[in-house]
Amino acid sequence: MGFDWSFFFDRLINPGDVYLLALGRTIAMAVLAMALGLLIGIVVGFGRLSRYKPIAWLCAFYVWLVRGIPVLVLLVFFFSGLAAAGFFRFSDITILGFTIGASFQAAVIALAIHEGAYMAEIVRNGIQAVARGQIEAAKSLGMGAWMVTRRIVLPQASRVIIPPLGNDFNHMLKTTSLASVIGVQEIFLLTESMSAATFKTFELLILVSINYLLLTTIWNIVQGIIETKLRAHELDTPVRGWGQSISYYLLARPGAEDRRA
Amino acid sequence: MSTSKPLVRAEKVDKWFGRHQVLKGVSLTVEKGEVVSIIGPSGSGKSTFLRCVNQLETYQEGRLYVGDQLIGYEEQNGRLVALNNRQIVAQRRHIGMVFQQFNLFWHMTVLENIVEAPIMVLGQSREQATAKAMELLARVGLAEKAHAYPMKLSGGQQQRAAIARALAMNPELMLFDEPTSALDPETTGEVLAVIGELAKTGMTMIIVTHEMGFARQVSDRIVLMEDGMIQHEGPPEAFFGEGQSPRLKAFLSTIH
Ligand SMILES: Nc1ncnc2c1ncn2[C@@H]1O[C@H](COP(=O)(O)OP(=O)(O)OP(=O)(O)O)[C@@H](O)[C@H]1O
Ligand SMILES: [Mg+2]
Repeated sequence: MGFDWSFFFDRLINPGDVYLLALGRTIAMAVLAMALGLLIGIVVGFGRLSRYKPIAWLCAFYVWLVRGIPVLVLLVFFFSGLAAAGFFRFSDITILGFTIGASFQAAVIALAIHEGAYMAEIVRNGIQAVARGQIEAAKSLGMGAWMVTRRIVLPQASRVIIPPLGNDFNHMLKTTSLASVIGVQEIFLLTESMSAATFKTFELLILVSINYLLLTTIWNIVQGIIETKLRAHELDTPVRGWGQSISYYLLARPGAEDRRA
Repeated sequence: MSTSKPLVRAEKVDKWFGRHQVLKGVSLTVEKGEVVSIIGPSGSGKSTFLRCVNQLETYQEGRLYVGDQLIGYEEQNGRLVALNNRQIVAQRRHIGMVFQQFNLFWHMTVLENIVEAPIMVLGQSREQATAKAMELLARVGLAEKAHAYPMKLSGGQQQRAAIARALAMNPELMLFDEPTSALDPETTGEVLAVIGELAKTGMTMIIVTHEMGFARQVSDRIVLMEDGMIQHEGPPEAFFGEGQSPRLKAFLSTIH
């Protein structure tokens, strides 16, 4: 009984290659699912605002459907459900000597589809937040529809989209642990199998929690820097470029200077 | 006034919003270099008319020409056929518009606001566009605000920047839709001064305004619009001098 401090510190300082590989999988899964989810979200978010009703309805249906199903169910559905019905079976792919496991692929797809539904709402909200007058001003300057979207709508919408997107990524980093049920060797599954072998369940769970905390904390800092850059227009001393954004975020007291004029 | 072809020629322009007719046969010509002010009560269709000129709205009947271009349509055997988006964008390019709410792009600095369209639409180099922008900013008295974001400017400063932004496209026609209505009295003057200066340079302008004193001072002609129709038009002296029509008297009395 009791807490095995030496085991704990040993694992903390020297997690081992297997663990680092699992950590890499966790991060890769989160980043890939988020990127794919963002892509889906942009397409579906714009789709929901489409003039063509069938497209708008289809996109609304997707959002409604996916938001009503637990991620865990989606994960199992994509990995086992589709295969059981004979629709599609994920299999390992080897690219440049690097094998991407079937369960990893299924997890990325399922997580991306889940995330895409939430991103679609975030993107739609961001686009709708762009004031009509901004678009009219751009048009009156002779800008075409695509240029207005690219130069005015997307940059302004992104200011609204980035904060909730960052929060979603924070969630995503942790949600990847659910992929353990379909056998993706990420840090949570590894923790479970190690605790089955060593019975140091308590120590290992604390270690894995510290890992998730580390990931989300690093992400919070990155997100803060990105948001500082995007809020350049409302800071008393406008920041220019990434270097200034980093130093402003790290050195200035956030909250003291960022009120609106 | 010159005898050459008018720059703007509206012939019996009709505009409906659904079942509601907002413009009822509006006919108006504006010569090159002329400054025309449109006054009239709220809801009379002043903004709608301006917005038809640069196609933020479409009209349904009549003809509206700017230069030799029929706005928004192509005439085929006496029928109007709507232009495609590309053609509409091209027609809009040389018509500048200044809005009541300024509408500066808030994610860009003042300078970035001004060089955006010259670079993206006209294909000017950044150096060329920046040089022109700085010149325009000096003209509207905002040279030292080039790198400020719109949120940090007063309303009057924002509106002067918006005027510079429109001028950067070298418009042949400038439309102003109540450019000072969102401003407090102190800053109204500075914006009117800029517009007045612009009038002296020979720019063709249509100005919707409630500032009667300004309209009288700067305009070659004043147009009174009521209920979607032009009720009265003439030089300022005739407008504010003796022998006004009863309608005009009635309107002017509501705003003084
Ligand atoms: N997008 C729209 N849809 C439906 N009706 C509209 C729309 N825009 C304007 N209208 C109506 O058209 C009429 C003319 O409006 P417009 O904005 O041109 O008036 P205005 O003369 O500019 O008034 P104001 O002095 O208040 O700006 C009004 O009755 C208004 O309610
Ligand atoms: Mg109006």
